[in-house]
Amino acid sequence: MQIEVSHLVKEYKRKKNPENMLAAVGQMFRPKYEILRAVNDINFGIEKGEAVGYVGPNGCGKSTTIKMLSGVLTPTSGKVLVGGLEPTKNRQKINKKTGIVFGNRSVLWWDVPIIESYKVLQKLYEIPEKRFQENLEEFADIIGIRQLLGVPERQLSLGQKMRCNIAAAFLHDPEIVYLDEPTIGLDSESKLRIREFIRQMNEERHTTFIVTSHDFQDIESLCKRIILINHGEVVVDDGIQKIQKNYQSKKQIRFEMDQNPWLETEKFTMDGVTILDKTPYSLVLECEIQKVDAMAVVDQVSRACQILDISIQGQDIESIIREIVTEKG
Amino acid sequence: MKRVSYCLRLWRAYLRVGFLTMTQYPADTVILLISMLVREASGFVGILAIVGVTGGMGNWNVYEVCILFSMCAVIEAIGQAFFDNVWGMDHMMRRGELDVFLTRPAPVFLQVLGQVTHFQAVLSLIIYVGIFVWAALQLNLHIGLYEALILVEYVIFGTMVNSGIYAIFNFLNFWIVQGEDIAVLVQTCREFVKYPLNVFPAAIQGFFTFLLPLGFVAYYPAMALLGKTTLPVELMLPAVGVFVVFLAFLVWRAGLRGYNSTGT
Repeated sequence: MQIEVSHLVKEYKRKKNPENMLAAVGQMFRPKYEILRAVNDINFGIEKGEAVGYVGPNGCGKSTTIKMLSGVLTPTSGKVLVGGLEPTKNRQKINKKTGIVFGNRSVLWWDVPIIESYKVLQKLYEIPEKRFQENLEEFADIIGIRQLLGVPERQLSLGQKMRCNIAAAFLHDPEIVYLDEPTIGLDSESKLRIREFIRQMNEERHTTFIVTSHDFQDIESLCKRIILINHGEVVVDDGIQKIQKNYQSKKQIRFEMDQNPWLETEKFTMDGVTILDKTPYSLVLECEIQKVDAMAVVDQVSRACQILDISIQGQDIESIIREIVTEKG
Repeated sequence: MKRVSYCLRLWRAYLRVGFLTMTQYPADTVILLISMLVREASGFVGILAIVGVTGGMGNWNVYEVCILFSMCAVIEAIGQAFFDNVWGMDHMMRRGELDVFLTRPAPVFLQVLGQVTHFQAVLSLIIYVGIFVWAALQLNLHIGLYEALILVEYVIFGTMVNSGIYAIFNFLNFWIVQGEDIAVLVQTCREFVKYPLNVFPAAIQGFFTFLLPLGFVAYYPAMALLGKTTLPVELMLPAVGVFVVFLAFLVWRAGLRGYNSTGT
């Protein structure tokens, strides 16, 4: 196990919101605190080379966990081991082998050419010159920053900046990389480039990734496993395909037909099937897979009319996760 | 030893970025240089006028006042050049830059300092050194072994006292939201030590000697250079400098430890 998290708890002290003005004045002198449990007894393990999506709604404890993994925060109780070491006690040692990307902030200098910022990182991580050049050469094309190296960051677009920042996190051959919303606010070209790069790093260098993102395309294209947390607790921890299979509750079937026999009715003739959309020549149904088999629905429709075209779509991972969160929340 | 050479190499890389930043914006460099000169010289010009009329201030003549002023300004310029980012603590905490530094394998404080360097201040430093040399020539100041020692100590430990005190008050940001305001207040108090402290009441002299030892930035070394005191300034300077920096280190460590556990 490269990363081991057991019974991890993090509590914050937060000043209690005063009920009235008088209480507010009183609290200036004797503040009342309430304990906030941001992370509540979390357990998971991550193997070397795994790519894990760490997802959950805002404020669920995602970034608090990442901060504890990277040694920024000390856990209230429980244990974190990264490569067998405790992050807060061996911060600098572990940090040498980890990289971190914050989607909403840049770690490069605003005023100087990108390559100059990289050179500082080279000294910071003590990257041998040869390795530094090799990595630079390799990344330049994959993530498309060759032309950007001589340009100061202030003259780059958001997407270009982010690409430079992501490459920066890989210069020192990290074994683990934390990606916090790596594609937030980017255009699709930049997103694609970044995903491609990360995937390649994962496959070729077996870099371990933990990705937090609200963009499920990121998660789906990068990770094989999802850890879903809500209210500071792990709700689901499984492979994406398994989650899709186990939690899939609905399927969408779209028909194109010569004429629509259900045009005048509101209800489909089978239980567990609802009509989402209809025109004289098409019909979109949603069926609950617990109650009804999709093939039976197709049968039913084909008996009533002539089907010209058909497509069946499973639920995407995003809506599955949304359902799990609302159900268990 | 390996660690020290690592830090020095990293520091040099930071300085390179600082230097390149300065050359990126020539106009900004000029403006910043002027503003630094004006800030340091403000008030001084008035004093110079008064001293010019009255012929002195306490037992200090015009040139001696110039020596004191330039010594005070040199230290401030060194601080502005290399240690200015202690003033950025507040900002770095709010924007989460401190978190980024904590995820890296280098001492956090070195990264804080390295983030911002103002090479422009080196230019203003040259001007102050010029004033010092000019005044010293007018005074026919004798620079022997003792004076040379005082000068070297003054540059090292004066900087430690000055930037150390700024650092301590800026580190208050770890605990309170407007720590910077207090640090600005301290900087305003510093105006006093540009003047010969012995013209002020004893309470003010004591304050800048024992409580907020900014007197050691320039006043005491200047007295030693000008032969105005019998105090063992050569011993007091290192003691106070090391003490202030050590205190700053303790405050920093406590602050960072608290930051680790709260993340606020």
